[in-house]
Amino acid sequence: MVELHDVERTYATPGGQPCHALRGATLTLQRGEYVAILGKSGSGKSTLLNVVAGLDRPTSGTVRVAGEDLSRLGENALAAWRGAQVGVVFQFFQLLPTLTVSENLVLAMELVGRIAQRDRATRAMALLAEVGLSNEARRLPSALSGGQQQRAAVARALANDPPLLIADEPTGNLDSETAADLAGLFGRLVAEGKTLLVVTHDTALAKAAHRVVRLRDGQVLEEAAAT
Amino acid sequence: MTMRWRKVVGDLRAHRAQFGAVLAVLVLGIAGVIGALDARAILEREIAVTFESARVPDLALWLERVEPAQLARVAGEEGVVGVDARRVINTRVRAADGSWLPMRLTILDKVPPSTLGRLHDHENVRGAAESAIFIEQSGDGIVDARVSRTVKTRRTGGEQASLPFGGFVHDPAVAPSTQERIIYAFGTPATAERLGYGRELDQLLVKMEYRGLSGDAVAFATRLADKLAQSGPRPIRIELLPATHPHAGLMTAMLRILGVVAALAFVASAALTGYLVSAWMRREVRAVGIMKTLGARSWQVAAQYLALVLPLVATALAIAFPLGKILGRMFAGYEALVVNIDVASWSIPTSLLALELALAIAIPLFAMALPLVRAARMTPRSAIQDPGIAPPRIMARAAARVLALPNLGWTLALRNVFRRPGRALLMLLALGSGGAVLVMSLTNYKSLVAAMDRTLAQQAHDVEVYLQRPATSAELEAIAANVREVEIAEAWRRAGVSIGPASADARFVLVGYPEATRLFRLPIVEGARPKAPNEVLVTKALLDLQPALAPGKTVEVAFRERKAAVRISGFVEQIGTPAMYAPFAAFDAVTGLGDSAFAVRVKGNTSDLDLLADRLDQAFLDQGRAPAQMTSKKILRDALIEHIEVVGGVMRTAAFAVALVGAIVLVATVIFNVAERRREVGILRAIGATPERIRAIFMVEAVSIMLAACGLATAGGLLLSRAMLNLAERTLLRVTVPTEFSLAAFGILVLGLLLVLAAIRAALGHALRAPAREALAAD
Repeated sequence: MVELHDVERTYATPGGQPCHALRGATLTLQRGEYVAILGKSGSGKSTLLNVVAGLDRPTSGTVRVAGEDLSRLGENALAAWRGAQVGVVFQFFQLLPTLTVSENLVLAMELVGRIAQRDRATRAMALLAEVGLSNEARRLPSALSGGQQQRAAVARALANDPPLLIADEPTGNLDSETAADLAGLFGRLVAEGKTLLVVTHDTALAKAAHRVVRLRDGQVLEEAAAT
Repeated sequence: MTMRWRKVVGDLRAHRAQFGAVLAVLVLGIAGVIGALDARAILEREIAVTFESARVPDLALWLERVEPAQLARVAGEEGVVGVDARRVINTRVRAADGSWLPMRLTILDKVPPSTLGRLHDHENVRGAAESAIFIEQSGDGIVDARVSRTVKTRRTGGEQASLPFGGFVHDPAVAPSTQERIIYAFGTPATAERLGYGRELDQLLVKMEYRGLSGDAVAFATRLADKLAQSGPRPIRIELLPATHPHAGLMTAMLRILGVVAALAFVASAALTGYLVSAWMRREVRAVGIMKTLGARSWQVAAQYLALVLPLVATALAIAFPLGKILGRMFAGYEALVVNIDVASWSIPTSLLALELALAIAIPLFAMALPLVRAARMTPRSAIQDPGIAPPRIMARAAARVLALPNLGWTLALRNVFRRPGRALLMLLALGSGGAVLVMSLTNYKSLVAAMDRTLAQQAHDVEVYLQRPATSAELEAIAANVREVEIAEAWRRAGVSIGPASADARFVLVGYPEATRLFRLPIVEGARPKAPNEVLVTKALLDLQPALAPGKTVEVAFRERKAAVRISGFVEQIGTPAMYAPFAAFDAVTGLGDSAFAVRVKGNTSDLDLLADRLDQAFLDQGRAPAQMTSKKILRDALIEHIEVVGGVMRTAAFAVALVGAIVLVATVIFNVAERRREVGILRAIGATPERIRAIFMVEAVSIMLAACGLATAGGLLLSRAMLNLAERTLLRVTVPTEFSLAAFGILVLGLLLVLAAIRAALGHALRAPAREALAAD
């Protein structure tokens, strides 16, 4: 599902010094696999996620996701690909505040155009029901709790039924009970066949993964099966 | 350099585009305020000073011939500060384009005169030939005298005569020839003699020490006339001359507009600067939180940002102050040219200078104080936890319920408009008010021109020929009827009359028309056509002189020593001077002039009115009846349009200035919105939106603001226009002026919208260039 081979990502700092966020990172994820990435701040976790999601381009190396070599896609094609193939969940939920919860989902479908227009509202409601937010569909995100917002964000990530889900510290802003609920939700998604790549500090979330990848200074140090 | 100042320098460097926008708005606003106030002060003072310096006489006592002894006698009277004599000859002059224009030639003992009616010497006119003719400078270009050094005019019998050109002089007491469609000229008795007139001067001009009210001046003139009658002939007529510049009314309107422009510039600039600073401070919330967490107190935070804006204020002042002065001077100079006055001094009162300085400092401080104080007073917790993308307020919640389009991208854009209701309102007001002034000025112009065309169409004649000397109706009609292009010719009569007690400034024209006229078709707006021999019609403009006039009312009309009672049968609609229309019977009853016509009204069978006027001119000249003036519908229309243009031009300039500021801020706002919502842009990109799609969302947001502003501008402009047209109907034109919506205004609005959208599109392209990764990482 995901193949990173010898990926380098270097940024130019304001002082002119190069910052090596990724150094020859190589990683493979099989379809239906749940992989957690651990690492200290600055180890390159977010950069790795961005590269996989096509939000950032590597300085060198190859990235193939869902059978597509991302370096061959232009900005617009990359956006369309991302909308269809990858669902992204952020730490701070990042729902659009002027749209209702269900509208947030429908917008994601509308941007990609993969789901027929007549089916979008129904699908949004079904996804919200799946994450336990049926009653909150018509409410604005600001009226929801943090846990509810994060579940809505997950539902949005699933809007276009992407095979790959990427989550960046999804429980970082949640209490332990809500975080556990979310971990359960992720488990169900993996069971349904989704591939999941999660950056986290949450040991509970990492324990639920099939595999844990540790990063240090931009290098993949070890890959271990979760205990 | 302290760390604080390092931050100031760093912030200025990092956000130079935003600070550039704030600086531009500040400079435009301050320069606008200063320019408008300066121009207002200069013009208000100079129109009065110019008129005063011309020593325009207050009275004209008409005699057969003014003798030196009479001048000396009046000069010795108490309350008289100056006397002079003149004669006014109405003749024609050949224009550069070959046409013959009316010319008012004032004959004076010497040119330039030294006592009253002073002229400003634009060229060295001394040393000119004794019979030379001097042209008022606003006729330069209309009359081609500069090159040929001769002026072609008409002798009393109509023959052409070439007079040596003495030079251009400036009479600051007359309106410009370009607007009045008349050439003002000056000459000596020798000039008059060369044109076949006598050398005598027939008006004794008097400058009073204290003019007072018109009644007092007339009483004073009557006493002078009595004194003259004791030792010689009594003046035939007393004329109270205008006490103000002929364009004083126009100038007052212009000064009011300038006042409004200054206020508008102040409010718009302060509001927009406040808005921009507020938008920028939203981005600084985290920094405020960090500083406060580190121990900064509110005043220290405020001082920090004040230090940031002070260089901006100083720079804005340094650019805007001299720029405003230059703009003010340029505008005052242009308007001085338009109304034909001299600007003797460009100085500005110290008190105004102090006010301008205070306003210039007040604009940015007033604008920046609120957002700075608000930011400084935030608690560290709320500042640090500021989510960046703020939750929607009540209005946004309402918008979420109401605004829903089939396309969610457009829905998102539309709702984002209401995300900051204050900003949206401010933007709407800035763009809407500029557009409204534009719509108003162009709609007013179109409506006034339409009303003018309608009333000119109601006027059944195409050309009116005014003669230098009266003749019988039959003779004049026969001359005109011989012209092939003439379909109908009617000799009409004219006389200056007044109602009630003789008051020279209450004089108006009594126009006599044949009972069987085919050329009097002015619509009757109140009352009925005259039936009885003593019945007359009046224009509504006469209400300005005689407010109590009404159909059915009988008034006493005075002509020289005669008085006669006439009954008002109704009001007719006509733009122009106050007039009373009387059938010949009623005209004779008032004037006793008999069959003595001064004018011929002609309807032509050609649409070429210039040709018709030329043929008539020649026909009258051939018969030794030299016309003093030829007025065609075309000339009247051009003159009226020139007058409308004077105020219209100022209003359009103001409208464009406001719209320009609004447009700059709209573009800046969109860039701020992108900057403020960078993370949101990142999210959209993360869930599959292409850069084009995101740009479209922001464009829809801008378009909806602009469409709303267009709607506001159109509605507001039409309301303002109607209010101004109502005022014009009641006080100036005295005719109905229906609103004629200007499609040109709408076109300009739409064109402006497209230009601004193009600018926004370009700006967005730049602002959205950041990679999705950076957008997501933005705070």
